[in-house]
Amino acid sequence: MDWLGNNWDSLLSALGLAATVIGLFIVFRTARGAQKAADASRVAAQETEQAISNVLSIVDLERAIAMVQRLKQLHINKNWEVSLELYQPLRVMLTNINDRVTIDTPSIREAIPQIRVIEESIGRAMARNAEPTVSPNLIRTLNNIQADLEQLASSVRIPRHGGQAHNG
Amino acid sequence: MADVADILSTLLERTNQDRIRWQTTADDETFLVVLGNSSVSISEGSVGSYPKQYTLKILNQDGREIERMDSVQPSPYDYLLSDLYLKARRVALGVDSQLDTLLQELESEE
Repeated sequence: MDWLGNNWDSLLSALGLAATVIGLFIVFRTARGAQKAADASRVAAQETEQAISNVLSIVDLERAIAMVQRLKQLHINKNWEVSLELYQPLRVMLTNINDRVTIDTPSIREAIPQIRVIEESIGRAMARNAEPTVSPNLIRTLNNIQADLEQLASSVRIPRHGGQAHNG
Repeated sequence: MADVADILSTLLERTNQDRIRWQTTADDETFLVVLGNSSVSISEGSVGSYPKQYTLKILNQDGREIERMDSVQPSPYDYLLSDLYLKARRVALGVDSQLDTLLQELESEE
């Protein structure tokens, strides 16, 4: 008892130190848990945003593929004026998809100027009152663009139940 | 600040070094290369025109023309434009490899 009486202050200091250490441990642990929860929320928000973006991209890709198909038919039917009206919206649509998707899309970047060349070629012929020609190269180029877009559409996946967005 | 003449000379230099992947297009007289978000096309003017006219166009990411150079007026760049067109055509159509293959075929016939 004498020892306790003599060392009471030291004992209280030691207990205080232990309580501080335990308290700090609890604080750090709680903070780490909160950080993990915040990270999980951020990842979930990003995944949702990506999922919405992918859905919009797929919708636009399907529309672009349908437009290319329509253009091929218009060219075969020699309906040049109507076809010219479709090229610019197609380029705009592809530019928007290219801006939106997070993966590198060289096929879209290559398709846009290719479409521009076709557009100019038809426009030049019509300005001269000449009949544009449906060369095999024209249809082949449109077929290649269509195939690339179909491949891209099939590679953009929607994430499932908190899974990672799978692109490419 | 870079201008279209700088682009022309650099493209020619890189094409000579086989570092540019020129592509064919739907137009037989136009060849294209995509570089990042931009692209460059080189075209030969309408068939039958003399002297032949060449046009270099720089397109932005939307495919819109942002710069061009024509060989309509005599200029020091005319030769560079025609040289670039002929070299871009060779790359895009794979002329060199086709000639090599043809030569091998001819030699194997002997």
